[in-house]
Amino acid sequence: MIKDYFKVAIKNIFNRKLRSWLTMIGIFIGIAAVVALISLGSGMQKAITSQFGKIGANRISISPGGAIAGPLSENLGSGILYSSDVEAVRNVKGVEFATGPIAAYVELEFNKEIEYVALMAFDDDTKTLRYMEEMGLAEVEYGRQIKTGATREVILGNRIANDLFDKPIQVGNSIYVDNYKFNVVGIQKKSDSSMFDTVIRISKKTAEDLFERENPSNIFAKVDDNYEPTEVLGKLEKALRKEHNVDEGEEDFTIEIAADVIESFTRILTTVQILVISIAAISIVVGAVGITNTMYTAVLERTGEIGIMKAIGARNSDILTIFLIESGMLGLVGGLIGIFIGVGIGKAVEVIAKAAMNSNILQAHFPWYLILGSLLFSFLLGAIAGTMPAKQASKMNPIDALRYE
Amino acid sequence: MFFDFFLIACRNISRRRLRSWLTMVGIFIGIAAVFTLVSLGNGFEKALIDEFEKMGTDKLFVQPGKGFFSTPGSLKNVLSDYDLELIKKVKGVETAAGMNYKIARIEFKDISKYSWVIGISTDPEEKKLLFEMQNFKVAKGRELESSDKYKILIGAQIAKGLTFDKEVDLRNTIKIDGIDFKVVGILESMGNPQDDQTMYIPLKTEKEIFGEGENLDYIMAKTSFNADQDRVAADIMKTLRREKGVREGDENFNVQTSAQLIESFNTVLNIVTVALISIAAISIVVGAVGITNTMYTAVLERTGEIGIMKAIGAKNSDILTIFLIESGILGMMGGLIGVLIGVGIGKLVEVIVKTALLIDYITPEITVGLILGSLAFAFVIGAVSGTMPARQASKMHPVNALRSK
Repeated sequence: MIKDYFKVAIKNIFNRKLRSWLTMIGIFIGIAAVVALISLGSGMQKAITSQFGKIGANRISISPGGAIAGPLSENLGSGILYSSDVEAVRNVKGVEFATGPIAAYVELEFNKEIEYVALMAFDDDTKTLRYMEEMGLAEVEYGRQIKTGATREVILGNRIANDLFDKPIQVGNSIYVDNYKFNVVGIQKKSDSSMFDTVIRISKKTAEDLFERENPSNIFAKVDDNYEPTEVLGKLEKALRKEHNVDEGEEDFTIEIAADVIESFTRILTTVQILVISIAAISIVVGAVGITNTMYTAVLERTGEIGIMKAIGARNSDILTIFLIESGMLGLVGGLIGIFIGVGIGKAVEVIAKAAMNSNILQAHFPWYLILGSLLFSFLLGAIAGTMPAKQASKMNPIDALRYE
Repeated sequence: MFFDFFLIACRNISRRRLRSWLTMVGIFIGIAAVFTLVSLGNGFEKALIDEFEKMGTDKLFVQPGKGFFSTPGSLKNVLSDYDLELIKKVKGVETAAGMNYKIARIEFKDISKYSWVIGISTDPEEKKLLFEMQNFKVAKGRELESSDKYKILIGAQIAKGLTFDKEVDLRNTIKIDGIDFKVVGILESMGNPQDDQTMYIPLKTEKEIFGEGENLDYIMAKTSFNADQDRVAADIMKTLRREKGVREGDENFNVQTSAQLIESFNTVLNIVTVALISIAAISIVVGAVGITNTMYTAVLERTGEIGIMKAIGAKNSDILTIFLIESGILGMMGGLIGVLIGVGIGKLVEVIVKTALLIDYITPEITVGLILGSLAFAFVIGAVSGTMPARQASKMHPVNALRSK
């Protein structure tokens, strides 16, 4: 029975080929736009979480002052973290590891060219190195890591080595950091974000000696797996309050669980995504109105047919179902074409973005639920758009309908 | 004759009332979306340009770093008091003033939080320039005087209690990093939370309490009447290069003219609006396809009528014109409703942004040009989407057309 309904619906769609096509165009344009945007948005979110995913929920970051201006702006905040704070953090129960790198903007000179870049100085022991590797901060593509105890050794971010200066810098070259000569021992692997590609690394000891800096810009800590990160966070706050001799509510430092920072970042991204997708979804609404219109016309044209069907025993619900299937099919086929086009657009944007921006951040991601969801959505949309005309058809008086033609 | 065509078109539209309505719904949704976005985008751009014009177009901005939009205050010890004096002596510079930025812990009646504190010069001439450029107006109390030390000027929203949950008034005491400051003045609202929740203290005091020494974060200069902006900017660069002993291209500072600032803001803004409008415009395309569809149906239904018109002497061009006018009117009526809805949405967004986000900049810019342009655009869209069906109608063979019914 339901199979017959489908046959009737498909035959009718084919009968009015041009009109059906135009109606489906209306749907597939909208679906294509939304599918492309969702795929790019979720691809971007995936890239970000995979990049920061390495950081994990057990990482804690401590920054001086209010930390309202983001990283590498340590000059801005009025609070200061001290070397002794790192010790205090290490002594808190539940802290497996802590390190306090120094960050700064420095002048970089190579081949008589001068540029200004960010510098990160971590401890050079193997424990810190392992920690950085876990965070995806320290993968070296060429050369090697800084040797323990070595001075004047520098590792360059990928883009600093390859793009910043007229001539690419190679392992073994000499560069000047704030007028001190350094030997390039390694070049980092290209990461997913430009942030890690545009920093240089030296050992913390060297930074302390040459630049007379000793206070860490941030403290990064890792919580032991057997402890609850939020609990440790509370203990850390207490320890640092004591260390800085301040009361509760007057802290001159900020402690955050890394996962929370990522979450607030993805929240902003989601908001932007929702805004853009809602604007694109307007065209789906317009397409749905097109389906309603086409179906009203179809009902009008087939008034006589409806009369005959009713005369030979079709119930109201049969007529309703036939028309609903028909409009649903219009939506579904439109959606199917839309998904194909959307996948194409998403991939095209990915390729263009990769070539133009030299970054992997825009990746189209098509999970199965996006495809299936869009198909289901477009079928439902078609059916809903066809509800009013189908109801009109089903409620026709057979005698009037037969007399109409 | 032409008038008759209009009558025929209008009669035909109103005869198929439901279908015409649905077709127009398709168009007006799209037009409303695009109209809203264009008017808000233009309004935002106008607000920005107004802001710059209030600041005056004879201003130059000297800041550390190489490009635009670096967080102010994050690069210290690039510009100094000495540089300010040098800039004042550059030919074409009438006067110049410096500012410092810091994020500090602020405390008011036991509520403490981190906020921007800006150090501004209290020298009468420099202060006048800063007030002019930042568009500061004192609403209550007085400005900072050169004899002031621990005195503070606060933004409008701080006074209203948005920062500390408590209202702040003249002669109240605010603690910055534990040091007492007395409120001497409250500024008029500048229309955005960032500026209205900032605190201003004498530059000298700022340098003293934060240990800033000779450092300046930002230098603004006013050029004398008729001076060539770009020339003066180049001269300032030259002077600073000579003083710091760096070659062209190696600078760690930059000078922007007002025109350059407006342009760089506009470029970013335009990219965002164009992206959003293109996405919204997809729905207009879908609506246009709806018109094509409706017109094909109309041609089909009126085949007999077309045959009769041709039989009694209508030329091909007459039939074409009648159908084009009909589809054009569908487009324009849709456009008219779309504009009305667009105006409504734009105003609604303005009210919501103003009350919820306290931002004055989002005001839709609704001009006669935009309204007439949208209407003309909608008419053209209608006529263009009706072209194919209208041609089909005009080329019908009268005998076949008559025979079809």
